[in-house]
Amino acid sequence: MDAELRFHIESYAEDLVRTGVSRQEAIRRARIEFGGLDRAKEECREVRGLNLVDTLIQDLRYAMRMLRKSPGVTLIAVLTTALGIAANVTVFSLVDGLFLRSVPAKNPERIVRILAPENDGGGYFSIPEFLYLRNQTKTVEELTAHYSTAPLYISANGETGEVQGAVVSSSYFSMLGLQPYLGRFFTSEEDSTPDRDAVAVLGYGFWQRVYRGDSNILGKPFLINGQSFTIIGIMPPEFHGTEIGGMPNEIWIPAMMIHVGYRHCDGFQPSCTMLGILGRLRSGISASEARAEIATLLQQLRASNSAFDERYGASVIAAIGISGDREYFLLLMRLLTTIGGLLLLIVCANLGGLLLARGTARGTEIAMRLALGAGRSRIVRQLLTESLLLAFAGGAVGLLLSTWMSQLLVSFYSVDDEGYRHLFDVRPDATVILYSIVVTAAAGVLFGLLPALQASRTDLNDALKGGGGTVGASRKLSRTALATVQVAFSLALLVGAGLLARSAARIESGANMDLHHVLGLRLPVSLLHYPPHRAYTFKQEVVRRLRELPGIESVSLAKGQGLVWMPGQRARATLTGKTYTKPEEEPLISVKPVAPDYFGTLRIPFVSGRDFNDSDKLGSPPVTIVNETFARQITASHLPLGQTVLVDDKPYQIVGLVKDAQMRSAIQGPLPVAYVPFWQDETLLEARMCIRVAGDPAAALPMVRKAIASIDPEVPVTETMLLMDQVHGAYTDARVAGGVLSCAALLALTLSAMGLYGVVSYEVGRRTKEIGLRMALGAGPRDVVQLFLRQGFGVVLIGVIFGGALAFATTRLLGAWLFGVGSADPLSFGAAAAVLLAVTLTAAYLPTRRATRVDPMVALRYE
Amino acid sequence: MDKQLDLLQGTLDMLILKAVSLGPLHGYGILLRIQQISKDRLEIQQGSLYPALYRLEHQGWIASEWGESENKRKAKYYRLTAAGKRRLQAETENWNSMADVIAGILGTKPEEV
Repeated sequence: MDAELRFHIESYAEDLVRTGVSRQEAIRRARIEFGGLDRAKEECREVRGLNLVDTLIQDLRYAMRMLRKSPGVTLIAVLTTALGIAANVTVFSLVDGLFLRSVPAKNPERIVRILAPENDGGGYFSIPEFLYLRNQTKTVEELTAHYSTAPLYISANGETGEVQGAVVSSSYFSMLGLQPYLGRFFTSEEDSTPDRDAVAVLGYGFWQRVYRGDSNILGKPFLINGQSFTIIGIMPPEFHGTEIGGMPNEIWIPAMMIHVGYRHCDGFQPSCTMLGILGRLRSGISASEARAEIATLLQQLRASNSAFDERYGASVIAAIGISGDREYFLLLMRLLTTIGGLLLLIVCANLGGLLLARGTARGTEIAMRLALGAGRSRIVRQLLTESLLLAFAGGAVGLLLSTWMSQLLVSFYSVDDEGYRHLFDVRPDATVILYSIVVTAAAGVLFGLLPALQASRTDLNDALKGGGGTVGASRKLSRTALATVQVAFSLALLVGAGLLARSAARIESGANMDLHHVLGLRLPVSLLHYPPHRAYTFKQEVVRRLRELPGIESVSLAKGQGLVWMPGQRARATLTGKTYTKPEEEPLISVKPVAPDYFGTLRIPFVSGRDFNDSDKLGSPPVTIVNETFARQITASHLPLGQTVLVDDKPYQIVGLVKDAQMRSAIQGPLPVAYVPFWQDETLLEARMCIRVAGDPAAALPMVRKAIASIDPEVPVTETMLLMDQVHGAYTDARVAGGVLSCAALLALTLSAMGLYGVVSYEVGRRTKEIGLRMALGAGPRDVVQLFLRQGFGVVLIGVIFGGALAFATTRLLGAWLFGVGSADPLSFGAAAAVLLAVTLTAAYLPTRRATRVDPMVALRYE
Repeated sequence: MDKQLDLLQGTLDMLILKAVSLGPLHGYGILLRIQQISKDRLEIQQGSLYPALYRLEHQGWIASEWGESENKRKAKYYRLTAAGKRRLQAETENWNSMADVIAGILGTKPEEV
């Protein structure tokens, strides 16, 4: 621009010179005639319009000034946005932490997990299979085997206890790109011969905890499951193993030492499968190529030696997300996503209403700007900037809130129902931050666009005449619509919360068990290679000794893969004499070996017959106690005592009948259970104990430990947990869902009430003159109130109808956590609607009281 | 020289478009040409020329290009765009109809009311 203007002046000056004026004089006159150079430049700039960045900065500064002018409203708006965004970002953090994170390694993009389902579904491998694959595969490099849930009972530096360890092949460390914090990792030489190299790498946290970070521990020995291992290195801090959402590993030992870490079968046998396999895809190779190769190799292996398990294909998938059961979390994630979305929409509707109101209040200012020549799009852009500024302020706070909220949610899952700790990393990473920025911007546009467009349509004449201008019909409709939307969504959330609350109350009722004051623990004698007979007498001694302790009411044992109070293993059962044409038709039941006093300890009521006692021992006739469902389904009678049933083709005589003892599950109906005497089976090694304590079970634990140690100090006492905590753990999902829904419903209700209050309050203010007129003409306070209440009632009614429909459609999502309560439960719907009506109608009523206090004289004069 | 008329508001744009329609010109040249075709009867404020040029360019009626002036110096030349041409036509028609109407009103004799 400069050059152009200078050229102009010089050209003019030249012309002047040609007419005889001196050069100096010419330039002077040219400049004067032209006028201020800077002013010209300024005008040009203005006409051309500032470029985008300058506009933005100007808008931002203006927006900040506007927001500062009404600090109260701004604060509320920011907080509201923060909560809505926090809810959304929290859910995404969880999704990210559970499903989108890769294995913690250098360059994790090519790392894959390899699975190959066998007969019972597993997908794990045995050591011989792993070695074969490692030698033969051409598509995957650095193939690594790992067993990352090894319970290792350690004795180190005077401390004993159980830690989670990992049994890994030597390529584990190089595949993950790990560097030892201290010392070194084991070499492939050390992982080549079975049972030879007892070396171990410690986790950083373990080292700090047990050895206080003593750097002289390299080369020192410690005991794992009774065997001496040498410490050769320390893992870097923050590394807890490869299992996302799994139990954090604290010790790593070589795969060749599998016997120490895995007891259920001999790890070097072809069919003893417990290993997970990870590896890096070779560059240029796709996952499906690897899959085909692995499947082929496994087939070849089995063909060469039928001792290997039959495999059904293979799968090679990117090592992203939790390796365990995804279904478990997917359901909860879906619910949380829906709640987060609904909350954000409510927040946007609420803020939209707020901004619409403010737009009206600022009508004069906007009209002035329009009159002075600002384009409509400019006004819209500026108002939108304000909304976005609000949104981002709220978003920043929301992001901070969400880090705390996601930690809170995850803490409910940090201990599973067997007492094992799980580690979830839900700290915000780049993905989460990017998501929160996008959501914030979207929210800002969502709640800011409509008000901005509406505000810019201010009728100039009306606004400039004063009185803030009249509100167009469309604007009022918008605010009403937004209030209705909020009410509808609030109802949906309330219904959900109500359903879960009812469900929670019914979890324990009807279970026919009382698990309060009961301590559970496990004595894994197989870790110490106890032969069956020794395990048998040991456990009997433990039961006897514990019964004598003060404060202990009863002690019992049960076997089960699950917890002490859960159903046992599956089996088939028939009444003797009854035959089925096909074995599959034989009914499936649950078999659970329990010791005497089991039912007493868990307070499961007897219907008839007797409990197991000392006469039911090895060599005695096999007897069984059945529950009512069993009696009904298998024996088809209410008085099964004395009848003989075949369980897995073994005859048992029924000596007792108990009530169905089962915690509610939304998926499973009552199971038929046959309890058999624990002491009649000498092969049972594992057992879970349940101990009923008169007082606080946790306080009794040290006494119990001492008693057990006095019989055999080597036996680890593990998985000690209060049974009620286990129950809570088993229903964590329902509890978390219920808690989240309740909080969300509360927030939504508050926002809806505030929104409705605002709408009615505004109407009252706007129509003050009309009220005065009516009152002057004889209307009483009640008539005035009715005038406005009608509007509020309309909003609430429509909101309830839509909300009810929405709730009806979405509560199916809660199916898995509704126990004994249908998803269309009328009581919950009714209660939720009642609460909503009460709150919202109150919110609509309160501003109308102001209307009744209008002094007609003042109002009529009010301009 | 007759008394110089004051330029009516809003007409500067039209004049610039017309001047440029006769051939690309730089800013100073446009000024000269307008003065020339108006036979010096119009006085144009030099300071308001360039804002008008920028506005017209922003609106797409004219386009600019750097080139060389007669005395071999760098200057920005403006030419009429196709849209500008249409705009000039429209504005001209507008102006002419307006002139007719006003002339009609001003020429009304008392008895024609």
